[in-house]
Amino acid sequence: MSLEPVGDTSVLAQGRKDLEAGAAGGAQEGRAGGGGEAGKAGGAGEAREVGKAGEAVEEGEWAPKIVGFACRWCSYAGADLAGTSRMSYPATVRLLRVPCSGRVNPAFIMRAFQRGADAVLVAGCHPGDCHYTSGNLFARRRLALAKGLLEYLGMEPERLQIHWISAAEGQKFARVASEMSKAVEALGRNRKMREEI
Amino acid sequence: MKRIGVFVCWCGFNISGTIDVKAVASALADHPGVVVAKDYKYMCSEPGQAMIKEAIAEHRLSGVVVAACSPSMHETTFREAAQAAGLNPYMLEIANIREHASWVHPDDKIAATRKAIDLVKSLVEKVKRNEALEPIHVPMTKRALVIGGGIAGMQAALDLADGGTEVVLVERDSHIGGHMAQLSETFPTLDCASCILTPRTAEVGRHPLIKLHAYSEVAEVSGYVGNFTVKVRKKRTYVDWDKCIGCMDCMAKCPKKIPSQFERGLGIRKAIGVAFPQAIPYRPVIDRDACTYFKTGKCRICERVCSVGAIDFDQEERVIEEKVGAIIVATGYDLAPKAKFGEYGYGKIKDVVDGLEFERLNSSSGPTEGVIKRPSDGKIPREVVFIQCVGSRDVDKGNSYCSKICCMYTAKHAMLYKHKVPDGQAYVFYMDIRAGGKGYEEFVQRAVEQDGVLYLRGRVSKVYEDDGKVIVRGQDTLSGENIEIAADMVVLATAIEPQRDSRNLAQILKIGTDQYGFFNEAHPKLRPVESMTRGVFLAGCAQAPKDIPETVAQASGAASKVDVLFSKDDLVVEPLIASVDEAICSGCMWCEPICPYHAIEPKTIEERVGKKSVARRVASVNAGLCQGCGACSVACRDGAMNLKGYTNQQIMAEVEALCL
Amino acid sequence: MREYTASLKREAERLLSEGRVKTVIAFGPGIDPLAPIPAFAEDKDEASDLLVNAFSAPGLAKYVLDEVGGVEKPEHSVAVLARGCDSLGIARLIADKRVQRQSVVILGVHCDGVIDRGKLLALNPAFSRTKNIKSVAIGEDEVFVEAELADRSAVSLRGRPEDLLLDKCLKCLERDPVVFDIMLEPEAGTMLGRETGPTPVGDRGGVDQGEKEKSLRARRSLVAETEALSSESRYEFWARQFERCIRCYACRNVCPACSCRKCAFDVPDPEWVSKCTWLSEQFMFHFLRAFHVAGRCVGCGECERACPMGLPLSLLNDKLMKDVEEMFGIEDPHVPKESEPLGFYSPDDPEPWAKEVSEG
Ligand SMILES: Cc1cc2nc3c(=O)[nH]c(=O)nc-3n(C[C@H](O)[C@H](O)[C@H](O)COP(=O)(O)OP(=O)(O)OC[C@H]3O[C@@H](n4cnc5c(N)ncnc54)[C@H](O)[C@@H]3O)c2cc1C
Ligand code: SF4
Ligand code: SF4
Ligand code: SF4
Ligand code: SF4
Repeated sequence: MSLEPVGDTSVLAQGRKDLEAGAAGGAQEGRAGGGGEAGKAGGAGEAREVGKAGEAVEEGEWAPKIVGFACRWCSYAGADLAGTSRMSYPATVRLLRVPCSGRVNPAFIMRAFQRGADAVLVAGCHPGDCHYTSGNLFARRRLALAKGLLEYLGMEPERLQIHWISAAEGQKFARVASEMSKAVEALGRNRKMREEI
Repeated sequence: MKRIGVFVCWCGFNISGTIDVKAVASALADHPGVVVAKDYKYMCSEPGQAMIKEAIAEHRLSGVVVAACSPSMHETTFREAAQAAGLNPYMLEIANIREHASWVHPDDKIAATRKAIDLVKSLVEKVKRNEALEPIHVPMTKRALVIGGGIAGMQAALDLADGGTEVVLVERDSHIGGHMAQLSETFPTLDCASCILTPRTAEVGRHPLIKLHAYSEVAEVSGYVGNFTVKVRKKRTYVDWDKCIGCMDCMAKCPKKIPSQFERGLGIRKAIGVAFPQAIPYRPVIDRDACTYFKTGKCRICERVCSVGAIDFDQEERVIEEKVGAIIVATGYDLAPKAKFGEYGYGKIKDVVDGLEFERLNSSSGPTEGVIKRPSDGKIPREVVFIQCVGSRDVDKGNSYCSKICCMYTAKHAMLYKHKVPDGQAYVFYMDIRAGGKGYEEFVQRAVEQDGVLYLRGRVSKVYEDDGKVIVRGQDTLSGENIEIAADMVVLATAIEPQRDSRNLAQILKIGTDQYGFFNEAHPKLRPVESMTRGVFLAGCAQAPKDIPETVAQASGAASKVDVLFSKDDLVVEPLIASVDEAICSGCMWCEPICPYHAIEPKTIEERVGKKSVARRVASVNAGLCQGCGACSVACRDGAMNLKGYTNQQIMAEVEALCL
Repeated sequence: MREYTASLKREAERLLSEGRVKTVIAFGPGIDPLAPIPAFAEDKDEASDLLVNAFSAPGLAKYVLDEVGGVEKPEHSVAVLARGCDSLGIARLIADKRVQRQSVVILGVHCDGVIDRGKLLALNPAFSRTKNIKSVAIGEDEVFVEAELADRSAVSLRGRPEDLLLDKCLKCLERDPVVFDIMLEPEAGTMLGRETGPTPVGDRGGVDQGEKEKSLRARRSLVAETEALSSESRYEFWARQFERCIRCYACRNVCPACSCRKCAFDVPDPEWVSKCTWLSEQFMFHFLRAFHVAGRCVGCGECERACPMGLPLSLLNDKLMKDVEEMFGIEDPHVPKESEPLGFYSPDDPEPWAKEVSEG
């Protein structure tokens, strides 16, 4: 990819060119399983091999790391209930207590991916049941945009999940944790947007 | 320097059976900032707590993380212990390694232990950024405002006043009692409404702790829980109520007769006077639109006959200010307007009346002295058709809700009619019968079985007048037959609707309404008598249609909520609330609409820039109102708005620690 | 672009002499006739140097913030020249309460597009010796430029709009201001402004709906193309873009939706984004920049125009604008409104994640 200074080139045209190149690069990668143009493009010395090749090496060691934001009234209590009911799920989800899903700043999610999370879960009360009536409804709007943007930047949809889990839904919490874990395992370690490791 | 102590609980085998607690403690001992890391069998036990207290003293700890069960179990216990040892309670956090780790990962001890270490580290990172917080004390005015003097407002006012709380009761009408004053008998016992109501209105009228502003409205409310300032607009009565002795000579001598609103137009009243004989306050009002003097400039008979000189044609509207700490909204309901029901002939055919009109026709103090006569010619109706769900459960009329009480009062009406006209026939068109309530189903059954009321399931398609009869056409959906009844009178159970101006009042009070205009409760299940605004409570039909027993129960509920609020010396609020960094805040106020409690307001600060002082707008959070949801902090792009106890810094640090 | 300079000068002189404003913000001659620069006239003399022409590239909205923004009672008012995109930016600052409506007199002007100096020089380097622009005509399918060069010779060029106009102008959403006090008139002879009084946002005269549709389609199709890529390719694409970012913050500095007193990117604690330019921080930076203007971006394209590295920032903004419109049903999401899309909600808001997540 050339890095000509702009000023006399059309950004729009450049955007198109880049898109085409991107598409080609992606397709190529898909087939070759990593490498291609992408490998060389790592300007800042980032390990940015994508695809399955990288994972194979460390598969044995690796278990997904999922950061979960849980509102204290519903979802955190739902996870407590999963505990008191002795349901078992993989030890991949680590919960962080927030007062409300409305407190979850998309920047926190990005930071998790930066620092090595393989997936992020945001869990809140069901719409209509928010302890503060509207926190999760604002959260829903923000996260709809943020998740769209994150995916637009190339993140796999499965890596950011939003679930409504009530204090009575211990079972649902356990199921979400298991299913997410499985989905992320299938995707492999996340390397996108991530700091060098 | 941060000096953090970590205390890992075994919880007997509950935690230690799965998690290697020693490994957790030793991993944490090496963590930057941790000066002591210990484990113990039962941290919540006396010796466990003592261990924490001692460590706080010995190591001069600045923060503590207890790795144990869910914070919902023992957060308070441990925080109290910390406080006892001289550490600010908000400098202690719980890492949940039981419910969130040992109990749910019994088969993978290594993974569970690793996870536990991560969780504890993350909370250590949080605690390093914790801030000592003190509960916030907000002074309170222990005086309540009740808006609306129907049965709801009266009940609430009496409950509060009987308990020793001063009450300001504002009633828009010239008298209290609300709709209940218009009822004849009440279901399900058929006792007379005024017999149970009049003693209460009298009690409200003379209670030393109740200050009644009748014929008044709430014009403005400012402030917040514990500290509201209310502007009450006292409308012009043209009678000095302080001078008036209630002899009603004026009313007797006034030559001008007008249709009485209280009698729903079925009776008459004078241009000056009270609405009904038991009215409280028993003080007259001049109806300016009707009064001959105001129309023609001549008359003033009332002025001449008044022996105390109370008539005051030049009276001005007055606005008075009341300071209160809590507000109960009990403004009740209105019936759906006639204009909506052209197809039932309502408003066009004289003998089509609504429920309240029928109540007045039934009332022994009403225009017919309790003899049921039809309005057109005063004849006693032989066949009466009652139509339920008029305007309720009807999306086309804008009300998809059920008005809840019509099934019951229609059964009551039909029954009362049969008691008074035993050889007459009563028909009821209904969609469903909803008779949930103590003794309610039995009541309806009695109407059918003992009084022979004929229930027809179906919708009425047309009502029209023909030769002195009101013809009702409809379909019985059970038999599938088309029915046509030539009735003498038709009674419509029209929908219970919010007061027409409820949205306006909602705005004044900063509370919400639903799509119809009924006031919203803070939580449909758990906080049914509170509004979203702290310190503002709801009672009666203003919140949703309901009958008298339910209204009274809710009113007492609201009153006791106010009592709970007032039971403390001052308002103590948890310090986990939003706060604004004024140096950063841009004053964009995009955080303001996010807050469900209207806790955010703009405020102007003065700042020195060079030699000049400039004014700048910033957001400010009212500690009395903020509940600490944190939704505003995310709306704030520059991070000026932060949430204490869950700051951006704390959460970012937790995230980072969880990912490492 | 039609000739508005005379009318601009006249209005500027009038406003200054009447004492209604202290400063008039418009353009003045730069060193290069093909690159007029923002100019601030405070008296009659300075007003007579003001101009606006088809080479006036910079947006003017943010200067209003500098002059009268951020305080409760500004000591004086300013007037500002506003084309469609400038007016959107000003409306943004007003909606964000950073500038008060009454402290700015908006001199509205119709705009047919601005010529991209770089593109022109690429087509004919001779223009770099321009002494005088003689005439410019911007039509729907053709742009014509004629200039007198330093050696007095003349040069002219005819080309397609794509090849000559600024990219932002090719996807312009508003050629006429959405808010203004005075509309400048182009007719010769009556070069006077038409005083209309403050107009509410969105109350504009004739917008060419057809043209707007075309612009929107152009924006949307690029977004759609990007969305159609695989996650991997999208990531690669953006990684390649973001790698080039030098974190000069030009994009933020010109953006009328980025008006915070202290930008999150300059807040030391918490460090939302570090100053490092390694890729992960670049993703964080660009995610946050786009997200912070989500629902408030006015689509003026200034960020992209200002970026020295040519990052396709509109491709991010347009994606969010499209989502805001489609998911929350916000009409004309680029026009600032009384509430911003993230400042309210509907109980029926979509949950675009339901598809990949089983709820059973
Ligand atoms: C035809 C009919 C028959 C009924 N029969 C029965 C029955 O037999 N048994 C039974 O249990 N229930 C019955 N009900 C229901 C009963 O009327 C209500 O449950 C009860 O009146 C509700 O009381 P409330 O105080 O909430 O409202 P309301 O009675 O409406 O009182 C509200 C009061 O607030 C005042 N107000 C309104 N707005 C303002 C304002 N902005 N500022 C100040 N004051 C204001 C009004 O003037 C009024 O005095 C019947 C209802 C109808 C329509
Ligand atoms: S706290 Fe933030 S969102 Fe609120 S006014 Fe200040 S800058 Fe705006
Ligand atoms: S934290 Fe929640 S309750 Fe408090 S001011 Fe912010 S939005 Fe309102
Ligand atoms: S993000 Fe770019 S296009 Fe949007 S308002 Fe800011 S400068 Fe204009
Ligand atoms: S203007 Fe361009 S290079 Fe500068 S910070 Fe913005 S995107 Fe990066």
